[in-house]
Amino acid sequence: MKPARATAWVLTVGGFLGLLAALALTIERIELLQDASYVPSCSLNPVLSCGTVMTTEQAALFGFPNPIIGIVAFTVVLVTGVLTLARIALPHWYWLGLTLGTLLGAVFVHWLIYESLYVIGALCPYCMVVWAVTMPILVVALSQLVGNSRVGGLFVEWRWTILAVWYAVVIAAIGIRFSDYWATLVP
Amino acid sequence: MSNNSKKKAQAATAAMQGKKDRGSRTLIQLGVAAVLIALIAVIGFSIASKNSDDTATGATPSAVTADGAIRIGEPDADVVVTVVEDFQCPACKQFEALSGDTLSELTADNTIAVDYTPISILDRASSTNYSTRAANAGICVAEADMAAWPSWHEAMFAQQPAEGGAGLSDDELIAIAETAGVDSSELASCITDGSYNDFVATTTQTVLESGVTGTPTVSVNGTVVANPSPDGLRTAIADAK
Repeated sequence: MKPARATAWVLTVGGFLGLLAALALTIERIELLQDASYVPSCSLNPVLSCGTVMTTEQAALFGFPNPIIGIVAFTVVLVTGVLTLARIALPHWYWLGLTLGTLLGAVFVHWLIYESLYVIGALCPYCMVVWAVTMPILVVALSQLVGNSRVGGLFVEWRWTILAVWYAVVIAAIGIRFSDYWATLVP
Repeated sequence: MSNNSKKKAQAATAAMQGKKDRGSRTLIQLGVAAVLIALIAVIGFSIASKNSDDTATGATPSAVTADGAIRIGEPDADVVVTVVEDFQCPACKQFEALSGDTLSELTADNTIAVDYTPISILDRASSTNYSTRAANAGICVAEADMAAWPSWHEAMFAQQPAEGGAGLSDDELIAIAETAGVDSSELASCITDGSYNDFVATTTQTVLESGVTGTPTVSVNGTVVANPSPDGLRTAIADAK
């Protein structure tokens, strides 16, 4: 199956934004290491606070800061997107690898969402960019992988609906968890 | 019509049919998405509003001042030092370590009274709303035994939990109060039930609206002390007399 144009664009834009966010998080982490009193550019208040989130154990699950994984992974996604935009056909096994990798990434991201909301109790804007791009990247990678089969075709047909509902669930969870904070923003 | 053009016409009809199908399918997908998202939004709003309803009622304590403060020392002192603090705030712990003894001394010789106003602005820094639970415990202790409050207060900052953790458990809060000498049958339930959580929320709101932007905020007869070190405090108190 030839990749849809939308697939190529989602991979390119998603990979690019994810890469930017991972770079920003890594750079902020280094700044924070050099100067413990450094306030990250995305620490705005007690709820929106990269500093709170970045310094937790969860932010370095494998012993080094998570965004380093993001720099490598989103680079692959970005390159795949650019190749697909250039209409270069990639073999089925390549899409399998990309989908499996993104699936692992999505599992990791959802664990981080859970920890951020219910354990750490703060949101980190750059991390949320990563959350937001991981979902569509998984959806389009999986579409490309399974698009030829009957069930897969159904998934491809409904992929934007699935993505929209998926976003809605995450946004609702954030809305509920920090509802008293959002309420303070409304005069 | 030649065979060729017939085929072309068929293909064109098929393509149009395909477009139509795709159009209606897109509409169905949009509809399903809209219904599901609306459902999620409704559920979300109902949970959120239920959460905020929980903080609408609650007991009003009697041992506090009109401003929701716990007054230590001579009730009618000429000079009142007000300390707005959050039990989760590291700077408040530093303030207590640095100037706590000075305030106790000045209170003991009836120079001043100290109004401690515990507020909860750092609930996000723990997974258990420690700020609110600790401030609630402060009012529980004040209601139960005012005499034990200063040593309880000191112990709370000595055992302040790290930010980003789970805070102290209710049992640990009860243990600190009991160690400080509070002996009341209602203490445990007051802490466990969060009897004054709503009162703390209201006090926090009022204090923030009055212009306090952080903790600790220390003021002498209403004037904020920029340098709340022991010397800075003594100077400000002397000036206020």
